[in-house]
Amino acid sequence: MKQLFKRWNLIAIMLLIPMCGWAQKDLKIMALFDEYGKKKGSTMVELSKEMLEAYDMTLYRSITISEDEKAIQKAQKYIAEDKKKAKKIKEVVNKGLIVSGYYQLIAKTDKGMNRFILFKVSRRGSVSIVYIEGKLDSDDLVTLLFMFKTE
Amino acid sequence: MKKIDELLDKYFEGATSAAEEQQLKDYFAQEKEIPLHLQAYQDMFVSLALLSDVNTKKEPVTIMKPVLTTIHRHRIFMQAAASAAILFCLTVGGGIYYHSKEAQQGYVIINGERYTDKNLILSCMESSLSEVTDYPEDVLFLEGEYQE
Repeated sequence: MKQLFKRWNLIAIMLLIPMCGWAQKDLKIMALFDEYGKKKGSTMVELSKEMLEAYDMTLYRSITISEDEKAIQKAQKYIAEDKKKAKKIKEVVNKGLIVSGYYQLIAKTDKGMNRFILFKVSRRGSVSIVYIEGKLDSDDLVTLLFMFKTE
Repeated sequence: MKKIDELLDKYFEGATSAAEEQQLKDYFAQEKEIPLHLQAYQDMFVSLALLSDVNTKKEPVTIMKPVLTTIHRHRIFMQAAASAAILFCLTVGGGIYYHSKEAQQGYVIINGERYTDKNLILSCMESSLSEVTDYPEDVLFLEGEYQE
């Protein structure tokens, strides 16, 4: 009987191993990447570890969806859900709706990786979401954003 | 006795029925006082009776059925479970491998078209980062202001 339990444990472990390492999968906004990533009017970026080494990141995913009111509404709804997992929130809210947001999520990945979501609804009617995972902290990210802004 | 003589004649003419032949076999097998002129046929009919007995008697056939003990069942179940687990791991693992390989390379999808050009990817990354900081209000929120 003991052997039987040992075997079951082994099978359970074998089944659970592949589930590890999907930190971003717990976020609602990822549904937006899946739904709109390959659609017309969208630009989706995913960067490799190699390319991100200079920025202290391990994962970079972003999506910009143009002129899609439904997508904006969905994004705002998902952000409202995901921000419950954030430990730092900085937002711009207009008429009760989030138009811009910065969220540092509670680290869920191993080795103390930080996770960030950046969100923006532009005046042109497009919505952008950036998801970042890496060793960089919030100061590093702000510096990086200023760097891109001034470039 | 006359009847046996007649049956014998018929037998050697090949005109006896199966029942008549059985009658002859029974007679020679069971009769204790066989007349002298018939004794010559006794051995033959007794042998025939024995032979037909051997042919008609069917030996019980033993069918060997596989016996499934509890251990066997457990073993089969465990093998099936292990196979399912391996198949699952291969499928999920393959998916992860594909996904991680894809992530290692990096890509950008613009209007449904996929590109892996490094410069294009980096320029899209820059534009998406500048996109999320293109409001004047962002300067405030980046500096730590919180508006609601």
